Amino acid sequence: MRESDQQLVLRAKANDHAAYGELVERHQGQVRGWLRHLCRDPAEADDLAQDAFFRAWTRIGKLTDAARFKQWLMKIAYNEFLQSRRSGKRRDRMMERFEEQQEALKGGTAAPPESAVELEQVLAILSEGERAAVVLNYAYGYSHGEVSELTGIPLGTVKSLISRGSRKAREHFDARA
Amino acid sequence: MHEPENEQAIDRRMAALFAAAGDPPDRDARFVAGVMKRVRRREQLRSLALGGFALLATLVAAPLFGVLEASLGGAEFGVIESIRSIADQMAASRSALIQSLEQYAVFLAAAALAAIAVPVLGLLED
Repeated sequence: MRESDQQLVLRAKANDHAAYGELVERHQGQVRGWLRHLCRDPAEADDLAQDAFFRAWTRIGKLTDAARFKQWLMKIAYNEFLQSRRSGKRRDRMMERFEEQQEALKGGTAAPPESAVELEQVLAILSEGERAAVVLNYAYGYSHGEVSELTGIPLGTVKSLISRGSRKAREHFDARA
Repeated sequence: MHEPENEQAIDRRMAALFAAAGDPPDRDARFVAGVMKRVRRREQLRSLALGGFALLATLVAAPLFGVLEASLGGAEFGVIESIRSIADQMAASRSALIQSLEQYAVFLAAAALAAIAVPVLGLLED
């Protein structure tokens, strides 16, 4: 029988590496996916996701409500993202990757699907805050309240970020029509 | 009515775009292995730092047991009496007191070093 997150968290708190490995496996898709939408650089997003999971391990003893592990983890991931933006410590690495990508493009790689390009274009016109709220809301179905809790952004601001984000998306779709 | 319908259409289109983009695969052994490698390394470093601290503390504290034993020698075993006896005897023997203070200072310094070592190792690891 598949163990619940809550049971795995309790085991992880008792220093059970296998249990934490299972938690990482279960949630890596969503954490990496969200960070990829935020960073718009898959390699950087994966680095941040690794940092987030590592940070979560070091703090798991402080997690009071084991049932809310996923929300807590997403919050840590968002903080990692904000911290990386503030410190700019990954700037050099990003530049290196940008150069690598340019080289790869010169070499002729397969074009991404149209929907991915369109999503990328929509996300590109959103501010960081709008992107974070829109992705959590549309891609992962978090409510406005949950988005507020995860990002630490007040509820009223979350609502206006999502509204502004979808307005920008509509303008983009209209312009393409 | 036009506006809400329009909004719903946008919502659907956005949801469809995200669904088409998808997340990284549900199972990614390489990513999980990367995280767990860092977790294990941290635990090893922590054990190493704690072990080092315990060893250092034992090495520094061991000579203090001799002083403590000498102080307790012949004293009553009531707690207050013992403490008083220790204090009296330590005060009586100035050189012993200075020696134990020196040892205590070394002990504190070593403990402080070991305590600092844990976060420093954590930082190094990051």
